[in-house]
Amino acid sequence: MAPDAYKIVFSGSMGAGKTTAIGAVSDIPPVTTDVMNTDTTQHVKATTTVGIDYGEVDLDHGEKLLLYGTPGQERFDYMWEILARRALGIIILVDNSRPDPVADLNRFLDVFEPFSDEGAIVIGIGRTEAHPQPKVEDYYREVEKRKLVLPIFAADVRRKKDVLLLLNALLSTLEARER
Amino acid sequence: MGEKVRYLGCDGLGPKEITLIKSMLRLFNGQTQGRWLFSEQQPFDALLAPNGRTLGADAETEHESLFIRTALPRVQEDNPDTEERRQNNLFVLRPIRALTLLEKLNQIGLMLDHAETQQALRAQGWDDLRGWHDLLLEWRDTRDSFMVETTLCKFVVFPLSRRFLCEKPEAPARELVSARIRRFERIDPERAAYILRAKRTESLAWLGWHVGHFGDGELLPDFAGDRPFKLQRWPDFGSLEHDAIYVPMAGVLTQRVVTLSELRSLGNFPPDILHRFLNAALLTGYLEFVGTRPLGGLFGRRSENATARLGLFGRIRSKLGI
Repeated sequence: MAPDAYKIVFSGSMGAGKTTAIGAVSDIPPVTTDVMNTDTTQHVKATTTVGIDYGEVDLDHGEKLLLYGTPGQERFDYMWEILARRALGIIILVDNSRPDPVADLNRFLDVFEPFSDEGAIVIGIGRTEAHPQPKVEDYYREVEKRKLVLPIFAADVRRKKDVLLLLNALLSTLEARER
Repeated sequence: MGEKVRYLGCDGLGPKEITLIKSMLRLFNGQTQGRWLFSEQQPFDALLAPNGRTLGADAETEHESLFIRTALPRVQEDNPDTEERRQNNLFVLRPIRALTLLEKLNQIGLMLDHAETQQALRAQGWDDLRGWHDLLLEWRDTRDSFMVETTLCKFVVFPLSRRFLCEKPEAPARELVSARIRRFERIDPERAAYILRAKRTESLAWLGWHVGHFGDGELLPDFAGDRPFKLQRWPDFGSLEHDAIYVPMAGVLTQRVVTLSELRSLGNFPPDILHRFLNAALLTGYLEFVGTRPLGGLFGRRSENATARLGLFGRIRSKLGI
């Protein structure tokens, strides 16, 4: 990564909306490696990301903010850590329609918690309108068991303002550490 | 909860006008704030009497208007100031029109309800009920569930389980928390437990948040004394109405223990918005006062290149428009 490039990582289970979230703010059409989904035990979507998603935001004067989406399937979880290194922050997207979304979050936090000192972690809970259980409060309680104070918001990443809210919280966390 | 019965009396009016008023009250049945009945004898909740200059000898037309006296302090004085009376709009012009009387009785009903609520609060040792703030703060640490009736709808609040039930959950948050409280009453614990089991309740944090957010910006008394505090949990900005600047405020307050004066010096936060944020955070229960500040003081863990990093974050914000 070039010294004047910074990255933010979007992670989350399969179908949680990582590609959509990156597309909402990227200056370029997201580069995706979607292929036909053959793992329908995890999610029924037609295509899925087997590698990484990539988008970027041009900050002028040669600086770039790089946006990466991690592969959702667990068999690629070795890549999560690699992507998280030296990231400004990690946005974990949780799909509330999945059978055990709290367990999903815990799986991602197991990997990303060590990065919470280095970067910021923000959590977006999707599909809460159609699937109101578990509640956002339940996620807070789960995260608090780890002695973490993280932003956890209901978020529909199809709406750009929701993606910007997650990024705003991520930046606010980083800024507060530097003030 | 039965409907409150109010009594209207008349003084110095002729029989035709009294008959007219009685018939109007029968017509109003169920449409007024409380149920108004005509009464021949004291005590009255309101008394209709002639007012203003004398026009003629006929008892039913000698005054151009009628004045409604109530038990409210502002109009109970023996020699009330005329201007003050006008501001209260408690005049009914002759000839009496049903809609005008209906409107005035509703107005008086609301004022009496409010006055009675205040009186009940004072009897319990509360000097003043400013609204939801006081109710939520006073009951924060109790086990008693209570019903609150506002000018919009009824609520049941369960402080112990941190839940509430609202009669009109679809109403906008601002309207729900801005409606004036008319009365409240404790609820039998068994009944409260039944409601909690049978009905879909919401987090009391939602109610507390919006009470603070849509409040008048006057900082709650809890913040007096410049005690240090910290935000123990991020509010769910995905579902709570908020100002965009609340997000960086929450960023600061979840990272460190600060006093109000320190917080004011940390960022260029507009005071009224800061106050509304702090009130909202306090009323959710997420903001907690701490006895002592941990070692390390006000400032967090600034990196060596803090200025450069803050500049970078500013450029990202500028580019994303946040």
